[in-house]
Amino acid sequence: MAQSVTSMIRHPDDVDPLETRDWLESIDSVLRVHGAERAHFLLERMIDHARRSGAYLPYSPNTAYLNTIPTGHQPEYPGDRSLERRLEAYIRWNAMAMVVAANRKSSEYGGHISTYASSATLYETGFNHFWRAPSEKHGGDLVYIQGHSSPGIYARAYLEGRLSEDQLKHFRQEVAGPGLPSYPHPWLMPDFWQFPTVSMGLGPMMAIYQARFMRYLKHRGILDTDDRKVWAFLGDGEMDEPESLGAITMPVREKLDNLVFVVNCNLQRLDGPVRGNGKIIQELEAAFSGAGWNVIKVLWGGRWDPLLAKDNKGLLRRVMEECVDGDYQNFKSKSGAYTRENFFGRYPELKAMVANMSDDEIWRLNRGGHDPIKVYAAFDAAMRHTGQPTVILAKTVKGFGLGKAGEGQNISHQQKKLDEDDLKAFRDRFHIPVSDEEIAELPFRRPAEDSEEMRYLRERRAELGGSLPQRRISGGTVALPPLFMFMTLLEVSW
Amino acid sequence: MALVRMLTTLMKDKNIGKHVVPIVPDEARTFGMEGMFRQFGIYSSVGQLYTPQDADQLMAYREDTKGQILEEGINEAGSFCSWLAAATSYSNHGVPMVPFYIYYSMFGFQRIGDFIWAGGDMRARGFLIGGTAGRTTLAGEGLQHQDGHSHVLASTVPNCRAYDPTYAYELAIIVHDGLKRMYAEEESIFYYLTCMNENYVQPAMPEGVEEGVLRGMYRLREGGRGKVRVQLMGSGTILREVLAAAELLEHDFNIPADVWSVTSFNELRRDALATERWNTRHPDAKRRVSFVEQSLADVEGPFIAATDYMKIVPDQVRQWVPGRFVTLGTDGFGRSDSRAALRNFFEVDRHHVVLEALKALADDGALDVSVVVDAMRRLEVDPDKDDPVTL
Repeated sequence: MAQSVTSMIRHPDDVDPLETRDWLESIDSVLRVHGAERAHFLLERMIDHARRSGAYLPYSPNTAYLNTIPTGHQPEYPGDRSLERRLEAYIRWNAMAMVVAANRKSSEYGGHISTYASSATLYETGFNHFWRAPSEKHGGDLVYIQGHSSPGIYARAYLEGRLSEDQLKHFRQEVAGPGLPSYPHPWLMPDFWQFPTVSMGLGPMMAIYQARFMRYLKHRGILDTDDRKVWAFLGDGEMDEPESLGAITMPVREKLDNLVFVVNCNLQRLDGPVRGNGKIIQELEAAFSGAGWNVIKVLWGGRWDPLLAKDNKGLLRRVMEECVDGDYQNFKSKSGAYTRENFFGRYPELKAMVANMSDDEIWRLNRGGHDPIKVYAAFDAAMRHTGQPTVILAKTVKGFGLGKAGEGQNISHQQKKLDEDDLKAFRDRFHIPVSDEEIAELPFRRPAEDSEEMRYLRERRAELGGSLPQRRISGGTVALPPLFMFMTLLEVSW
Repeated sequence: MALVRMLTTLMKDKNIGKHVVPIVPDEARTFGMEGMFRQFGIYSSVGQLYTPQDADQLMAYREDTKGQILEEGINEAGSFCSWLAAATSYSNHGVPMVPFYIYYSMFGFQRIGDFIWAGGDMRARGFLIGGTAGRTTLAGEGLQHQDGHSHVLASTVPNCRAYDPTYAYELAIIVHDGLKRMYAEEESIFYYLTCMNENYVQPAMPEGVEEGVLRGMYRLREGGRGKVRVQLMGSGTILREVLAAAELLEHDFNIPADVWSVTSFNELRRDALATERWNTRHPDAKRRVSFVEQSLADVEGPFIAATDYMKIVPDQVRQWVPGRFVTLGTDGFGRSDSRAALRNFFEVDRHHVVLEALKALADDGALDVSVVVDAMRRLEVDPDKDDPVTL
């Protein structure tokens, strides 16, 4: 069990490990016998007691640089992993292809591949398992989609048959034909996009107040909004906008458990690392947990689980803490061999731990935000959590899957031109059925209508009430009082 | 404020009442809305867990889970996000809501303009009420508070209809039409209305002004007969200075003046641009005439316009005014003083309107320039006064 492993780990600042172990074992036993609530009570009582006795105990809002949900607490995954992986691969390909194709016509069009590449699994987990469309059974969840990930959302809508190939071919070419807007703009796609989430920082604040407004509608007896959630997808770089964090105490005060923030922490902003010399996830954890949110960190993918289980001396955890985001970004821009030397190589025992792993296996040690099982666990926990808003801090790789063309590189955000070798590497990585002869044409691809993949795609969305995003154009009318009602009131001077 | 009376009427209406969402950023007392606290309640998800200090008073601070007012605290961005949620409720919840966000006009477009732009994008429907508006009307609050440009900024949002009305009946006509367009006809537009905290007598609605109020201008006062005449236009509180100037011109200078209430230079410009565009693209068709041209077709100029906003606001219609056109506005940084002092400082008071009218007539060759020079003495206009834009 996780606790018995952690109680054996020696902390670098520990002056009396034996005494520490006694205390930890006591807590282990409380956890086993009475559960987490009792353990929490005792720990809080001890801290309070020490403070009342005059001790200065600085408050730390941070937890270890590990997943909040231990592996043993992950729910069973309800989806078909292999079909979902296939579908996600098609969506990734089409999203990439629409940006690259537009920029072959003209670099004027611009576009961003790497944001969606980093967040595809986050979105797909939501689309496949969580987000309910408005239907007769349900009022529908409201999903604030991160503006820069629009190509991936279009690519999914294309698979679902909601957008045509012609529309995809006209990404960012709206004037003459069936084009698609750069970002979510209800003005330009009134039956599709609901929330304009660019410029950055608008989404988080709008989402918070939307969640509160839904409570207002319910409390005033106007509309039952229970069981509907507001999901806001944000970027870690975007969190630097003052509006992003400016209103985070309100949903705590209002106990808005209908609100979920998902911060896609790909560690990169437009020009470089978000916090090269620190850890953006830890900084955000402190801000949100300090404000009173339920914070769920999704840092490490399942391939790390066996290594963490073997980490008896806590060295792996120590290196995880020691490395800054600049390092983490750099590892993903390099290779398994580089990671072996510069991450595991920091301690001989760690290097030994991965000695029997190939460079390729080290390279494939995945981040939490790219592991559907970890992401599902976090989303599921957010759905069940009551009394507080939840923020999910998902660690990802900017430009995931772009390889040499932009994975984890400082230029990722601007990358919109892939050469033929890059395209082939992308195709091979995601097993897209495009031949060498065809690849230069950048064809869009979707599985055959009657394939297992397409059936699954349709079933999942049917189960959740229909497609998303979708925007209702007409919302009904209100009967108005006649003008004279105002006038009789206003004739008096004042 | 007349707006508050209208809001209260609306909230009591059996149909639309419950759809109304009044939103304030901690300025309800500034706008005279505190009477609504007890009547409609301030929304609180937990009700009220304490006895308010003023519980025994008529205007007690009453919080309630069923409260209708969203009191957002000193927080314009958050207040506006509440407005956005309510203004798009028709789409996101299938329930049209009618939000009125009432705030210091300076802290809207200027402070949270990007959110408002997003509101246009997301087809928000509702009312933004810029309270305590006007650079010289909000007298004491000084440089950071006195708004002379929110109408300029409002003009940048394509689906924002902006009005600077003077009288309660104008406001009533505009709000009523706005309700019809947004909540009966489901147009994706929203309204920006400036309201002032200056008290003055509210006349009854003259006959047949509705169309003019909505399209942007109507003749409020017809001057007497005379050899020359001027057309004076005014908006908001400054319309009252313009009316006073008309009296001065007639009584002291024997020059008849017609006075136009211009409720929206922004709307006049949009209409004129659209008309002109149509004419350009239909060169062989019968020429269409914009509303501002129609209104001024048979009148004798010159034309003088004065507002509590920057000169660029009336300047918007310059190319369609059939004659010499002089605009007065409040360009420059605001400062604290009385309304009278500020209107003199910014050169938008009745004396400056008279002076500009006489000067325009002289420039047109209809008056001798000595009349202007003489008038400056009588009107106490200092020729060496510094330009307010530079101060």
